[in-house]
Amino acid sequence: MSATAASILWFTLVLLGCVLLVLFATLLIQRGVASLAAGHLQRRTSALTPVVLAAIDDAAADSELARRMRPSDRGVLRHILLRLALDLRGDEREAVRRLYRDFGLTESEVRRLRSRLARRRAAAAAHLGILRHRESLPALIQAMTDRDPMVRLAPVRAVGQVGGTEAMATLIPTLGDPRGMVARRALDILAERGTQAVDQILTYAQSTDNREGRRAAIELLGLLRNPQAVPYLLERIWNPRPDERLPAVRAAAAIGDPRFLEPFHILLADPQWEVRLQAAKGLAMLGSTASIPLLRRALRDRHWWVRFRAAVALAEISGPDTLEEALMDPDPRVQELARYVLAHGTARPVIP
Amino acid sequence: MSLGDVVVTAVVWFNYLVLGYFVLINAHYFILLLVGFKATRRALFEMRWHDVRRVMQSHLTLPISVITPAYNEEASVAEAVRSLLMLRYPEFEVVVVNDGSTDDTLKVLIERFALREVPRTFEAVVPCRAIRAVYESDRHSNLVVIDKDNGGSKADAVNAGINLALYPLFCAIDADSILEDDALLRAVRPFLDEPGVVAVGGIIRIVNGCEVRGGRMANVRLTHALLPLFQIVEYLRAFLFGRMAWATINGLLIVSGGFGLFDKKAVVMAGGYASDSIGEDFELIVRMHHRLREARVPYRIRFVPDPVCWTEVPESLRVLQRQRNRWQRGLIDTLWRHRKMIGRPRYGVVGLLALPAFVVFELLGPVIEVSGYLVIPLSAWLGIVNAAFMALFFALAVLCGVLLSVSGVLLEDMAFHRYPRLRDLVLLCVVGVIESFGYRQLNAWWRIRASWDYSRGRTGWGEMERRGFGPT
Repeated sequence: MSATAASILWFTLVLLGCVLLVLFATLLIQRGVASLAAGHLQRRTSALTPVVLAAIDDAAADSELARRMRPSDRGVLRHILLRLALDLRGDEREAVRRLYRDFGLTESEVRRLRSRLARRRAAAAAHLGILRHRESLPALIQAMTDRDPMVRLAPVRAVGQVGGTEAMATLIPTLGDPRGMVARRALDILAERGTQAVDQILTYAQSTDNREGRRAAIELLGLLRNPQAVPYLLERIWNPRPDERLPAVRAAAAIGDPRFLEPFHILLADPQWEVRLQAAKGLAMLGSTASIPLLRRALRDRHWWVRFRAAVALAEISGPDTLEEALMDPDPRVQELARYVLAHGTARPVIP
Repeated sequence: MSLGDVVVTAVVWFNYLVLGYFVLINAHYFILLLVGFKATRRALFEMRWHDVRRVMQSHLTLPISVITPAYNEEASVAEAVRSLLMLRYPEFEVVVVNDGSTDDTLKVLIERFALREVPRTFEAVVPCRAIRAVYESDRHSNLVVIDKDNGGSKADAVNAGINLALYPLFCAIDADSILEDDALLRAVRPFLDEPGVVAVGGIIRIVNGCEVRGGRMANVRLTHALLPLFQIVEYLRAFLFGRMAWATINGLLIVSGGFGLFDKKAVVMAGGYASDSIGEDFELIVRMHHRLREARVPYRIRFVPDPVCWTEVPESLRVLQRQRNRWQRGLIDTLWRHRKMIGRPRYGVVGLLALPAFVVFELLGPVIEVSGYLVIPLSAWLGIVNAAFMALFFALAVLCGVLLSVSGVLLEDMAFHRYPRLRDLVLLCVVGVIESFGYRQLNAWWRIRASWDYSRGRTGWGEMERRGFGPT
């Protein structure tokens, strides 16, 4: 081997040795810095919290807070105020918002929503959400179109925290977000607090070209149990595409309007087992004795979940008698489900 | 040309081969390191904003069947099942498969959980040995115990669980592992976030030395035994670089058998676990790639580093050798079964990158490494390379290994901070240095022996001796 090869090896060896030293140093510095930062935060938090609490009680104490703050304390003040915002309500939270604004932190958060760093943008949106800053709603709505899906999650949640009809309505287009996590978060928030925006949700479902968005909006109409959606759902449950039909049937089963009775009877024979399951679930909710013969037939379905939902529906419509009769059925699958529901009740298991 | 000249020429060419291989394998590891580093940072960011409470409260969170096979686990099975029943997840069932145990595993389960035999019909969607009975619990409506004939493999037991699982996702977990409370809530994230996710792997961490109370991790500490320490460093490298990096380009080939979350429909489409495979977890993932690529179904196999499963690793050389032998035979077996995928553009990144990398670095690596240990000193003795060069080369090889190990420890500390004491981290770095002197070579030798065993048709599993999670 030549001297050149040996010198290349030497060079590489020295280089890697240096990298190794840097890694060791990083490990130690990382630990050291983290420990110092935690210590500083704890000390300054202890020192400033009483002054912040005084300022929340009495706006006149703001000047004392400003006097006690060091140039490096903005982060500490943010930390204290956010923690308090999570715990306080009413006037006290309003006072926290005022302090946040007066010390320039609101403005700084809105600016940080445009930061180059995704984690900063996400943190800023989350902070504004914790504070429920209604005036920052336009900036948060803008942030819901961020290029980074994980950043979009934070303003969606923040808009939900701000609340109100206007805020809820702005969440509706997010139901069609290409990232499931973002769309689901919007859906969960709207399912909890979206009753005021139900007309807009129905309009969105009827008008959007975004398939995912439409499906989510239909699910939502079911979760909100909105009877205004019945005519629209009566149309959608016959969609030839199974992935479009299923959310409509699920929503219909959740609403449980008597106009769905006949469609559910027909849908008990749908080729897709999830649709049959939802139809059985819907029939349980409607509680019509006219459904009993069809549900008894569904106890022989080839899919466990359909048999289970049919057994639950029978138990709910006609009490345990029909199931006790089913225990004598020659088909072991019918016996199994009848026994299962009689033993465990109708509450579980569940599947969306 | 004399015989001596031929030997010298061969040795010279072999030296070039070793040198080229050394450059290639380290380039490969450093690329994985960089990609894994970036992917871990991203995963951290996602973990920060992934709200597990939302998943817990959501109306649309997918329910999960947790399948755990048990074979002769009478001492630990009750605690393991109790720990699984305490998992935080909105809707899940625990399916315990008693794989024809010859001890009192079933009796313990029947007594502790008030089980009673129930008639249960099911569609055998994947093959498994005969199911003798199905039990349900009077106390826990989400507990099902299957008693079946011994199938001789974990694969057969999990297949039985799949046949009776009710939910669209299933999680396969070893009965002797510990899942963190929110592991399912974290592991389900990719299924909720992206369409077409068929499997998600989580990180496996080593429980040796830690304090476990009531089936829960109480205190994370490092063991003082050297062999588990070596394995901790190995696992950090494998999970934080290798799996993170391969998952980034949808080329992940292993979702650990200890803990993985799967879309049942996709696993059934692939035919379930192969009962005759030695490395059933690796084989299943490669087969899923194989079938789904052939069917042109868009899919993703993800790795998330935050759902943690704790498992015990061997503390004796004899047991470790058996484990590594089985892993290597599993690797060869799977590569052989799916050899037609290797180098074929039809199989995308798996055929063109992941499988060739496994062939070159995992299958052939030990052979070249051990040959290098023999031929390079021979070259020095023959005067083909000088002793100084040889020493330099060895130092470089050691340094590359150390660098990767220390990077793993650093990444662990930056991202997860599981070892709070600084001296634990320093100890792991020291272990990363000394593993290059003996442990690495031993591993390479075991893997060569495994290749020989495989060529002789040895297919057994070998037994894993466990100390259990008692006070340590």
